[in-house]
Amino acid sequence: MRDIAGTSILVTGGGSGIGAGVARTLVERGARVTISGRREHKIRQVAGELGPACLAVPGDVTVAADRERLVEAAVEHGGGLDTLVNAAGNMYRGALAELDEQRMLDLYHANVVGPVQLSGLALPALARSKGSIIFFGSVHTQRAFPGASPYAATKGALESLTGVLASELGAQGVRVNCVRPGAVYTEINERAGLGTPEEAHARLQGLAGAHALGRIGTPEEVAEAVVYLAGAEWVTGGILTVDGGLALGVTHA
Amino acid sequence: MGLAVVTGAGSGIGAVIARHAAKAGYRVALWDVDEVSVREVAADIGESAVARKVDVTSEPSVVAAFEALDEAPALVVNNAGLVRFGPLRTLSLDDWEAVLKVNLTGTFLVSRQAAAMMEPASGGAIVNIASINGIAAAPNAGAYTATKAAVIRLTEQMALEWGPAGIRVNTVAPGLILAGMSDAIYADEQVREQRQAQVPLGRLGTAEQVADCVLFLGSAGAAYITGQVLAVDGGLTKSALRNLARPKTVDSVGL
Repeated sequence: MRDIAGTSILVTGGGSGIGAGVARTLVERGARVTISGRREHKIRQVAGELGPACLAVPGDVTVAADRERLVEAAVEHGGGLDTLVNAAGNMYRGALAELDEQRMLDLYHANVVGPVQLSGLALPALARSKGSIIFFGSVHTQRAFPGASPYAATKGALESLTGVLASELGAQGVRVNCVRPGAVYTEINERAGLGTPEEAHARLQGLAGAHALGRIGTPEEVAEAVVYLAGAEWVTGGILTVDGGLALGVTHA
Repeated sequence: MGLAVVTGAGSGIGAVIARHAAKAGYRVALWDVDEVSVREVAADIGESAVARKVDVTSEPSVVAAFEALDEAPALVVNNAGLVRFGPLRTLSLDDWEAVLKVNLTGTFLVSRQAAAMMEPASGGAIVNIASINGIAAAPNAGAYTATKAAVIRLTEQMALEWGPAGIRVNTVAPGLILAGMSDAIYADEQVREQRQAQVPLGRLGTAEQVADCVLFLGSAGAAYITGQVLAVDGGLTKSALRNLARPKTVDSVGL
């Protein structure tokens, strides 16, 4: 295992949800972490909590100039780049007949095109460090949640390209893996129109009984999978599901 | 850290898993059908290790081994495995059944007994060692592929049934590893180079890398991971099409 202490890690979407949990865990383990996000106050708040090991760089992964700034900032802050964690993501939901074309394209841009472009930009630095790229899939690729088709499709794309890129970049010593979380309460659930924080939370809690372990997960539990994959020098093309057994399809009779 | 049980711990990947577990702070029970080798490995590890002759295909042997433990194990690693190479057309029924018994029935017997001890202790982790052959078939693998695929599905079944008891069950699928059962294969330099070339990361794996994955899945860091299979294979199972030829001038088709 490569020890992540002292390594340089860029986490997109680090201002909230799973991205913030990942940043917190990585800093605790001694990594130099650069976080990015569109909402400056959010990433500043997280970086403020985590101290000088964490640098906040406002930026949007769908904007080319922002992507360049992110990679440059991470390389400078961490003295190179060992791991790129593509945690930035959005959710858009709706019934089929009501789906808005532009919002679907925007979602694909934010969840797939932006992260892939960013990964390409980070590749020279990652090749120098024999580093790795981590994408986030979703339990939405394993179980159908009606109304979530745009989101599920973008996550399916990320899971597919994990294998392709692992195969493509292996010769340069760069690994590509994917973490597939299950039900984790974050504000993405509110942004997706699942109601007030209380309503969104209750909706997720309602899924607890469908998990083998009987409960929903936390961003920190997902972060542990990122720590493992960042250091696992012979794991590439892998999809590590962290879902408490949700996708097993548990039915308690 | 508690107690870890490793089956097939007398040699190869199992011995390395046992060593790594001891280094991580577990007390380790090393089980193997070969008493001499497992005692040697345990003696080498030192005071935190105890060796025992156990035949995972025998229910009385497995039950007695668990009864001899002084506490419920925190981690059980089903590593004991057997391969009998040969084309299916000429594979003897004895060979077929021998492989099924160790790889599948053995995993079932050990896991079931482990779960019975773990449940009153409010949980634990079981890690099964399958193979990339459980994900993709390979010529000459005989019954091995079918048993390893079965272990992956059995992992899901056990995770589902024992999750409420706090028992997590996961599988590691090692790829081309330079250790244990594969030593004889990689002694041939030409075969070794040809195989390495198929791996996106361009090299064979080590038993230590498999052990790292096992210990991660057994650790508190994996508290929310259950029912999963994780390939430790340098990308091999995702690379089936990487060696296909394509004209350099063709970048897109159908547009």
